[in-house]
Amino acid sequence: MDDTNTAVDEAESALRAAGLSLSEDEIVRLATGYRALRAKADALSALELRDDPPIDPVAMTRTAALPGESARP
Amino acid sequence: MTTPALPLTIEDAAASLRTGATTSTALTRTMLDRIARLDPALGAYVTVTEDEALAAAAGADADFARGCDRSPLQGVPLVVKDLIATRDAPTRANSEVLDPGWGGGADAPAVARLRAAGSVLLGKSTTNEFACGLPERTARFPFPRNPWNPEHTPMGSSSGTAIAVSAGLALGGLGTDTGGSVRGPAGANGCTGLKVSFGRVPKNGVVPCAFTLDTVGPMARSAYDCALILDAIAGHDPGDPYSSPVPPDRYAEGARDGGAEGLRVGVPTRYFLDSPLLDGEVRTAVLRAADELADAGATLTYVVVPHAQEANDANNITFLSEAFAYHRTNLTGRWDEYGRTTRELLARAAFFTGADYVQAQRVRALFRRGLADVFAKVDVLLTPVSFTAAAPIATADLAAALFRPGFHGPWNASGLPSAAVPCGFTEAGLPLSFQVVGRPFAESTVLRVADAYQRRTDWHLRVPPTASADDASADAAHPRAAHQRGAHRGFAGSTPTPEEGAG
Repeated sequence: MDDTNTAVDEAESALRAAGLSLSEDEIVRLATGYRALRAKADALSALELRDDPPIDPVAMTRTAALPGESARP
Repeated sequence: MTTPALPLTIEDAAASLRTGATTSTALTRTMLDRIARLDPALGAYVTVTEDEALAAAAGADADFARGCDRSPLQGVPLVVKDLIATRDAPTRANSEVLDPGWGGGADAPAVARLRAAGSVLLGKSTTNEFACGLPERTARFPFPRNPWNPEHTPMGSSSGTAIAVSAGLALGGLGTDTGGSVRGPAGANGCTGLKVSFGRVPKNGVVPCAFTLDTVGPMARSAYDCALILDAIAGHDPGDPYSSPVPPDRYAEGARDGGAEGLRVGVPTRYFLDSPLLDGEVRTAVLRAADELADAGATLTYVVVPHAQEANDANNITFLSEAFAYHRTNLTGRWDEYGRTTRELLARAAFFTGADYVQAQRVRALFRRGLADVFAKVDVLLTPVSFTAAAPIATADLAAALFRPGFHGPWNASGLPSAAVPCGFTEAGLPLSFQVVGRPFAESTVLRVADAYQRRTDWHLRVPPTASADDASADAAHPRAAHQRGAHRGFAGSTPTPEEGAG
């Protein structure tokens, strides 16, 4: 129960920080997925990639080659 | 007046228009009549532009008469998802929030190219609100129904185009795909849909969902028809900063260039075929499709695609964060004007931080690096489109897709082309589909594999019982209309588990 309440509090805090003032029902409904979504984001954060560049969506459109490949026709 | 036989594919229609077996005006009139009869129960169309369509058809017929042949799409009736601007109909994105004048009364480049190719646009097709939410029965927009079973979801968000193609209310059309919105509905409704490489088709004039993921792609019965549409819409446009300068292929030609002979098809095991969430009927159908391609001369290799789960999660984080950034002002000020499922999906973006978003972009880059090794060994990957066939509407849960693995997101995250291809039916009579994934800008190869499969099978030519029942009365003068061939009759039986998607 405490964990549920904490998740609701954290979800509400995040929603308010984003500028969203929702009803109690809405917050509780959204909070049911809060832990699972945070777990997914945290799992990605656990990958040691801090020195890696993020994807460049413009560069991605400039070539048919995948990273590390030489240019393809 | 008798109703002319309805061609099943764009390829067939193009041939009939050129032999004089039909005219664009007759074909368009037939489509409009079918829309009037069938669409109230299917909800594929938001707007039907009847007068404009008949005028375009007359123009196409006049062009044929004077020897002007613009493209294989000339005179062919198509439909455009209501997220894409057209000059002759409002763009609503299934929302009360979007400015009614959005698009400025001009065609998006993809639409302008369809018109320049001579096609006939029948109207705008139903979508989920902003390509995000679920359809709501209380909204004043049509409620889309799966023509194979109206109590099952047609998936989203390009539901209207998929329904229209499947039920013979258009021969093809445009959808958009940010997290599976072309492939999911194509799979659920039994037609073919191509999510193009990021940047292949300009997306200016399209209501944004997630700016680093959004794509515009063709949907039709066959891969070859998708290639014909892609031939018209692919290519650079200076109005879209993400539009690729890589020259387009000749896709229809490429789709018929050699069949499956000699192609290396990778079948991913971990995360894909080995997933405990994968329905048995789906797995069986996909493996049967792989065997069919092997019989056609392809070499099958079982492969592992590294970081697929992480790529799917990165896609969800990117999708939600970018969509929230677009909608934030309206969400804070006009919350109640959004549909419930839309606003509650978008609000979940607040659970992610700026650092999460940046890490998701690093994961996308990591995934692409890993794909270089995979595509050194294979030409395409073959996966399921979805874990199950279309779920009952009552159990469809959009947000649940955020928490589960998914087969669409990795290819949006990496910007690769991927097609949904019909490959059978469940015992309950719902369509099954496999996904072909290719290298960046290798749409020709993806379509070639799909076309090779479709020349050996007829799953993509099956017609839903509702649509074929209509044909039986309307086309009484033509008891074996082309689109009835192989009509699937359906079975009674099982219920799939919930599955829905957005974007």
